[in-house]
Amino acid sequence: MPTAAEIKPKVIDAFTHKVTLSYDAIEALVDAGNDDMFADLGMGGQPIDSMAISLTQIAKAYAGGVPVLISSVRKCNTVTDCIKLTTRRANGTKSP
Amino acid sequence: MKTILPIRSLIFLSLTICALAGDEPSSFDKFLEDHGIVVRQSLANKNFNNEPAAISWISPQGGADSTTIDIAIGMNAKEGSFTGGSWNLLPKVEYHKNTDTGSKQDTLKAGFNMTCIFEDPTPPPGQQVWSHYLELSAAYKDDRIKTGQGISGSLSYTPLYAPLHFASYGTGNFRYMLTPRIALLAEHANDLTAGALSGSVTRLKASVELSVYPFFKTHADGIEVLVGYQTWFNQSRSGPFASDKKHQELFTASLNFYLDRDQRYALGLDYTHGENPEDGQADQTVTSLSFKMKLGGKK
Repeated sequence: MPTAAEIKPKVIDAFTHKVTLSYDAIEALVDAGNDDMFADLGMGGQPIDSMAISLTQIAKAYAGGVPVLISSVRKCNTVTDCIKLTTRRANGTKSP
Repeated sequence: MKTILPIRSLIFLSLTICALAGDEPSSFDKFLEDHGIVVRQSLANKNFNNEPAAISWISPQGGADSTTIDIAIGMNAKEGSFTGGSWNLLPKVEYHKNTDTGSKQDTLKAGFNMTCIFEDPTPPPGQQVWSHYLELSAAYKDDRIKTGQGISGSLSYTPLYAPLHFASYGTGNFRYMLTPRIALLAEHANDLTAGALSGSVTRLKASVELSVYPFFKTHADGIEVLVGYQTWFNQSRSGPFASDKKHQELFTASLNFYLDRDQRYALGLDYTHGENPEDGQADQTVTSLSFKMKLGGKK
């Protein structure tokens, strides 16, 4: 059963491929609670949609992991939301 | 050129809606989010898919008042994923109306958008990845002014890449985003309502949109400038499309003042120059003030 602490670095690493911030910079934003994907990471709607691909890759690496779909990512506002979502999917929870 | 103006009515309407809505997402917003429902200016024309739905009253000096309505509603219906990709299917309905005598428009579209995103699933550590955003659209179209009823389809491609600001704003006080796009479009129309001949057209389209948040840190994201240019190269024109120019273009610029933190409601000043064959919008130059509404998430 993967935990959020285990998933967190993988999700932050996934974000380093989509924004121009470093791993350390994103982690600092997450720890400070200033990790809004639009306001703090500068992502538009389409790159946020595309996070479904890398988050699915993370979730499905675990036995029983299920895909992270575009509609679920759209409901996330922050990197922290994405960590929680990916943790649920990695544990096989399909919704919400 | 035409200009606006019952500004007081717009402000009153905007303030009323914002007072009802508040800054916190309402149960109505929650309902929209849970069901994947989005409200935008257009879902068929991707250059306006991030623009809020708009209702404008135009009162030209020495001319008759007119109204424009641009609204599109879509609902996420089906989705899935595969290695290195993700997709979703969005049924949609959209309506565009302009009562101005010289640029009448009355177009209803109903159909679906299918989005597919691809990217390298295993990029090198620390390296930004190119993502590829493909969208397939098909719709029934009822254009009561120009071409009558018919069907339309399009396939568009948008590259996403943060270092070039392709679909990414970056950080800092001055933020901007570029959205380049190419598309292949086809449309067939018959003579059922507009009295025109049957016929079809295929189009190549190129467009770019620039979104700017000039004072992001100081005014949050409440002030937005959108500048867009679209150009269509029409091929194999027949029937109601035979008189279309070989080359059509549209320039738009909008200044939006969002009235709430979640960018749901806005007052917008819009400038339009050119024509939009996809939405049946005639060649025109218009400046207007609009009340705008973008529901189902600000992204």
